[in-house]
Amino acid sequence: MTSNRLFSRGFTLDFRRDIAPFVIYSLIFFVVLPLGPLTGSLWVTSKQYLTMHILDQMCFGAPQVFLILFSYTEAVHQFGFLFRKNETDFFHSLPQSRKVIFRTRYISGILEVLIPFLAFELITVPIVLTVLKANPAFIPKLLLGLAISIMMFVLSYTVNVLAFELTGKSLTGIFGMLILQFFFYVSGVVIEGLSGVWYGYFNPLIERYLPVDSLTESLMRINVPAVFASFGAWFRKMFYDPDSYYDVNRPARMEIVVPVCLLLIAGLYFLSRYLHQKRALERAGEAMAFPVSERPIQIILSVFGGLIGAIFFGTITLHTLWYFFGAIFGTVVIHVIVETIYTTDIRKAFSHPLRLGIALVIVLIIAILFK
Amino acid sequence: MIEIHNVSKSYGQIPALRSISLDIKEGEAFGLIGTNGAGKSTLLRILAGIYRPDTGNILIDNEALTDESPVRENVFYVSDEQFFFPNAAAENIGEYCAKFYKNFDKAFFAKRIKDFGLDPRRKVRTYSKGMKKQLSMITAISSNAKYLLFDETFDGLDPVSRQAMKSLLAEKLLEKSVTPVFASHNLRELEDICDHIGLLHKGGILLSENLEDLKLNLHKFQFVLNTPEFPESLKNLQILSRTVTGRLQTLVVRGDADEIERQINACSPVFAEKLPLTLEEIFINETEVAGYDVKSLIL
Repeated sequence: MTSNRLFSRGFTLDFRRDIAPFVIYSLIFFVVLPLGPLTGSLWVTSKQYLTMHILDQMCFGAPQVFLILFSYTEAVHQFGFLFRKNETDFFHSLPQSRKVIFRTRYISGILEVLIPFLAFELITVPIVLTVLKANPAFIPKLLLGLAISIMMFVLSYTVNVLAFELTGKSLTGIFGMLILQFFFYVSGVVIEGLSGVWYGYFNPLIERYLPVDSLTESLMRINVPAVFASFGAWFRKMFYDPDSYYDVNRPARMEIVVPVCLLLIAGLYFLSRYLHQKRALERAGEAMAFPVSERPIQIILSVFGGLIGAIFFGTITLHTLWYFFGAIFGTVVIHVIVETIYTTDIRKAFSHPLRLGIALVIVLIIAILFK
Repeated sequence: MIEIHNVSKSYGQIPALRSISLDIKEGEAFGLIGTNGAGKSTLLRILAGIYRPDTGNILIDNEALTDESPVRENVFYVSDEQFFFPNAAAENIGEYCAKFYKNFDKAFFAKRIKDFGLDPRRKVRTYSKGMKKQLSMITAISSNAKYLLFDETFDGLDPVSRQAMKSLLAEKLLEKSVTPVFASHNLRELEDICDHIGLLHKGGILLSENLEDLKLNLHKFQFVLNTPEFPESLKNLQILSRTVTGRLQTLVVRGDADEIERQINACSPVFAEKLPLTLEEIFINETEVAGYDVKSLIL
């Protein structure tokens, strides 16, 4: 049942059946992506800058926007069936294990996007490099950039798959994706902040009060906060500041980030697969696939709402009072929305005051810390 | 053989199956009867490996049914709302299923599709409800899976197609190569094809009997006596129901037909005859004894 025979069989079938999105992605990569460099070439006069601009447009900027977008569409395409009872029944009644179903769909989703993307890169980039007689120094940067783009896509896709495994309705799944992505961003900020605390407070303490021996030196050499800070910054920039991560002059930091990112992808993959195996299929179409996760997810979502509210009101008014109002307002609004989605009854919007209370406390702590 | 041992399943606080134990013998057409919400579809989905039971276990050909057990290759499930790929034609559905069922008979599939007047190249989404049901059943039979699970499959089929499908299944049943399990809320629909009937009600099994045994063991007699009183000698019979219209008495009795007839004749009736029992009557009588008004449940 779990044999590779069945896996490859299912994989080939799904792939053949899914030719339509494959064609759409190919068209977008081959037709839309060259538009940026072409229009850029009209106004960029410096040849050196033009090469950089074109490569940026073809490997980093626009492709990453599309890759992120396709990581959403592919997660919906591959795992959206979990919300539809008759599809769930059909695929899970066939003699293939859940593990195989998950693996097949997961890999199909990646290949459906990456095959046209890499085909585009393989065909167009050498042409651009040759025609513009580009500096060969661009090539390693280009490859690194491509690797980051691919990793970013796989990571984003895996996060989205995880969101779909957790949630029930398609809309909730898409909402879940956004929330999870946001929390990666937040964790990046928090890690950076914590590393700042480490540098500013703990490092001087260690240097001043601990004896300078081999153990201390070894610990200092590991420089844990630096690793996390680079990871957090990279992650944050990767998703929310696409222009700024075109910084390939920091290979050492990238070297740290790549294995961490791969580990993260592997961890999320196994977690998603575990959830797929454990998922009660009768919950297809429910707001949450696992009743036990309803409470924490609702709190996480409410915290998300509170932070967005704080940022929004704080930014437009530049006033502390409005900043805190936004935090509370956002928390309450999202709590009400989620409660209504869970119960499909607006009258039960405040039926879990404890969850709302916990979310408010968390939001206010974060709001005070990052004010 | 499918052996179901103490299987229970709840949807949150709502119980769907309550400790069900049932055997489905090989080569026997099994009918699962019950009202909406009785638990028929849940039981079929559990047998197909889609849902997991909360408690209990299922053995198929002496092997425990799990997500990864190879025995699932012997089971084909046809849902009441079968899924078809949006742009797939009938032939694509056959191709797809053939990849998962190693004994899938492509020639049989192609022939039957043609016999039933279905266009193999037409998109399935343009088929009518009945045509989709036909396609599902043909796919299931072509899979050559040993156990075919049909959930309300005859719903939406016109009488001619229904009969044709039954004939198709009957052929396979004669070969003893298939064990179909039909879930339906309509007893009349299954009367002419099932060998064994299980009656589900509120998640529990009310009755599970072989139809021949039921028919052999339950009899209906009509007779007219000279006296209005019911004879003492007949009171010893296992009477399930008795109706009196004037002097005409109708009894549904459990036991040996000859012995019952002999006892009735011993009362010197003016007129006496044995009447055929329909499956409905058998069920009504069997379940009324258990305190259920089956007429309101399945007819």
